[in-house]
This record gives sequence, C-alpha cells and structure tokens, in this order.
Amino acid sequence: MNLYRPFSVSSGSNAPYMRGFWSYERATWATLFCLIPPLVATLWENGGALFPALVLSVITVVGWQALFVARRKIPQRRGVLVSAVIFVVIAGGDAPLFPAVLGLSFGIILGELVFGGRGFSFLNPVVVALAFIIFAYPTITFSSPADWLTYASIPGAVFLIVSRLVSWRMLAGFVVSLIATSSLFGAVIDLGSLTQGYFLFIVIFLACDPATSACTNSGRWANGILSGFLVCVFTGSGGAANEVQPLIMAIFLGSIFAPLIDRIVVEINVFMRSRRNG
Amino acid sequence: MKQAYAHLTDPLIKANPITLHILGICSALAVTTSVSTALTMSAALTVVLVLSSAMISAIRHHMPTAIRLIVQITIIASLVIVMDLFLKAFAFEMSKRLSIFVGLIVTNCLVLGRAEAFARRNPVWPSVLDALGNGLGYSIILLTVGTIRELFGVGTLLGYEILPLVENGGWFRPMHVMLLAPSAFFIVGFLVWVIRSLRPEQAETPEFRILSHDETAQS
Repeated sequence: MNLYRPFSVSSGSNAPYMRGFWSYERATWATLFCLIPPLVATLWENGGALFPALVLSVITVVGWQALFVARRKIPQRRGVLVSAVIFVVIAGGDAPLFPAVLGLSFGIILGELVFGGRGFSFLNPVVVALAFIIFAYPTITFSSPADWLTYASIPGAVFLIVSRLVSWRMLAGFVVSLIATSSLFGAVIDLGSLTQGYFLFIVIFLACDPATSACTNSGRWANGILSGFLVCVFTGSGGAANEVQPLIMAIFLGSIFAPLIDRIVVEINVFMRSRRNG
Repeated sequence: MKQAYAHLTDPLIKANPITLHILGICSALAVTTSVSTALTMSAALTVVLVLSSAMISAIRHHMPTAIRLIVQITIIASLVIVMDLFLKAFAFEMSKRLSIFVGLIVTNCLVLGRAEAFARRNPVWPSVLDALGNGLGYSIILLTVGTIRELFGVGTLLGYEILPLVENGGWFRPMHVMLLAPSAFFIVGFLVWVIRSLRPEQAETPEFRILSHDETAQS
C-alpha cells in the first residue's frame, strides 16, 4: 500500500481539491463576500480616488486570465477577482496606476497563471505583485490604511476561520510566534500595532491563504511560526508589525517554505505509521 | 557549404548557448545592467571564443587526451589575459565597470564547452564558424537583456535618454529592480519562454504531471 496516498480523495475533479460542503466556486464567493467590508472601508477613506485602481486591477487580472484560458486551456476561475480586491485594498491608494498594473500583471502571471491557475501555484499572486512593487519601485511607500480596516476585516476573518476556509492554527502560530520572538529579542516590535493597520487583513487574506500556506495541521503551526518569526526579523528594532513590507516579505518566504514543511510533516507521519504498523 | 553555414546560424536561436544550453548565465546576469557593458563583454567573449576554438582545433591531433582540459584552459586563459590587458589599455573605464567579469571568461562554460564539444574534433574552419555563431548567439541574448534592463532601469540606451524620467520632468518612473540581478533571471526566463513557445521542439518533456481525480482514485 502506498503510504503517501490519502485515504480519501476530494469530490472535485480538478485542483484545488476541496472537501465536503465547500467547492472552489463557493469558497471564492465566500472570500469575496468577506472582502466587501475592508474594500468598502478603504473606498470610503480614499473617496473616489480608488475607483480607477479598482477597475484597472479587475481588468488586468480578468484580461490576463482570459488570455491564458484561450491559449493554454487553463480553467476559467473567479478567484482572480479576490486577488484584485486584496491588491487594491493594500496598494490601490499608494502605487501609481502604471506600477500597480505592472506589478499586478507580474504577480498574476508568474504567481499563478503560468502554473495553471489557483491551486497549482505555491505563491499568492498578490504577495508576488507587492514584492515586485517593493523591489522595483523602492520610492513607493505604503501609507497607513483606512482607520477602520482592521475592524472591517474582523467579520470576514471570523467567518473564514469558523467555516474552516482559513486555518486557525496558521493564525495562532503566526501571532504566538510574533509575540514570542519579539519578547525574546526584547520587544523589537510594537505589539499594540497589531490592532491597527494592515496586520489582520494581510495575515488573514494573504498569510493564511489555504492554497499557498501549509496544508497539514502541524505544518500550519510550523508555517505560521516561521512567518511570524520572519516578520520580527524583517521589522528590525522598534518597528511596527503592521507595515506592508515586512509582512509581505515574511509571507513570501513563509509560502516558499510551506511545501517543504508539508513534505517533512508527511515524511514524519509515514515514518511513524510504518514503525507502528510494521 | 550549407553545413558550414549551419554551424554559424544554428547557435543564433535554434541552439542558442544561453537559452537552450543555459551556459554562460553568470556573465549574462552580471554585465547586462547597461548596453555598453553587454556590448563590450559580448565582443570580448566572441573574440576569445573564436581564437581559442581555432587554436584548439589546429592542435587537436597533437593534444594528449589525458591532459586536454589543462591545455584548453591554458589557451583560453592566455587569450583572456590578453583581452583583459587590451581593455585595460584602451578602454580603462569600461574595464573598471566590467571588473572581474572579463577575467572570468576563463571559467565561462560556453568557451570550454565549445572547445570540448566541437573544436576538439573538427577542422579549423568549421570550428571558427561554430565559435563565431555561439559568440553571436551569446551576444544576441546579452544585448537583448542589456537593452531591456537599461531602458527600463534608467530610461536610457547607450547613455542616451530614451524615456524621460519623472525627476527630469518626464513621465517614466525607473524600475529599480531592473538593475538587480533577479531581473536578468526573469528576462532570460521570459526569453526562454518566448523562444520555446515559437519552437516547441526545444521544450523539455515534463518530469511529472498532475493526476486527475479519476486517475488518483484508480491507482
């Protein structure tokens, strides 16, 4: 018997594999629904200034996906809209339109579409897009978000965790590791900042993204702990943990390690089972 | 004649040393931040490659197989030292900008690769054509990457302003990432992608594929 094969496989016929009530479409709609309050809060704060960025972002992701659907026969998915909305909430007010479209195109193509779409890639396209903007345009700074962003993210966060679309283990690992590491280093980061700024939004919608974080329970703890630790490292002394740059860089590295973490967890599991059962 | 011609033209795109054999990547990343350095490096490498191939091919019957690598490296290294000194004498500024990368032509897999794979067992004239073709193929990629990086990194080509910068009252916002090594990786990757889309015979067979649900259930 192959010890690497799961006992049951999912109901869908294509990746990303999901179980039970949740299908890919339902999960996408639920996530989009959860994104409405943060988006409204951001639009409210910025007035109409954000609408061009929102429209352009949606056109960008939908257009690139249409091209890949036509040329490479990848499935048409609405998940790209989730990426566009998250991107606009974080970068819409700060990045000028051309860098924003360029970064988002880079992220959506190299972060997702070349691999075959969501569920096939190992990095969240928004993380790739923001990392691209951070590296390509060091002069662009991300100002603090709408005052209400954290509160507006709470309903979505609660819903995603309760419905188990987002793993509480990942979130718990992240926060615990952040607190532990910062106290270990003698409070290098301001923990009060966790309730403001981008922290909750980015952690829930990017760090805990089920498609790009670890997918075993122990792996989720490890993944969260690693990302939280990296935030502390990148924040440096006296910084806040709610800034875009350290969070995105930490999540970027954490996502890259997620498959390795999963692999190690599976190997350990297989080793234990084969020793137990002979 | 036709075959000799193929030695020259094949390495340009069809068997390009960088995009198909993935040789000479190190210098392709390091010296392509501007067109002028890419141009100088391409010329230096092509000259070294042609001369070394000619010499190695000329002495191929007298070269003991056991020590052939030593002999080849000695010839290549001598030529590279001459080239390095030549640049220092006549283009000192450029030589400073290229720093150690001219010297590192010695270890460029492309030069030794052509010596080992072609010049060692072919007559002088085809070897020269093959070396020239590979040098030009290398130059094409270097110049393409250099053009993209200089144009979008600082908005100039060969030092002339093409895209007016925001800080000088224009509209172009330079992309800092173009001046960093990762951008060259991405550009070379995109070039490989484009070439392999146009010439599918270059694409490698995938090492694995993702099983569909039915196949997973059966096994």
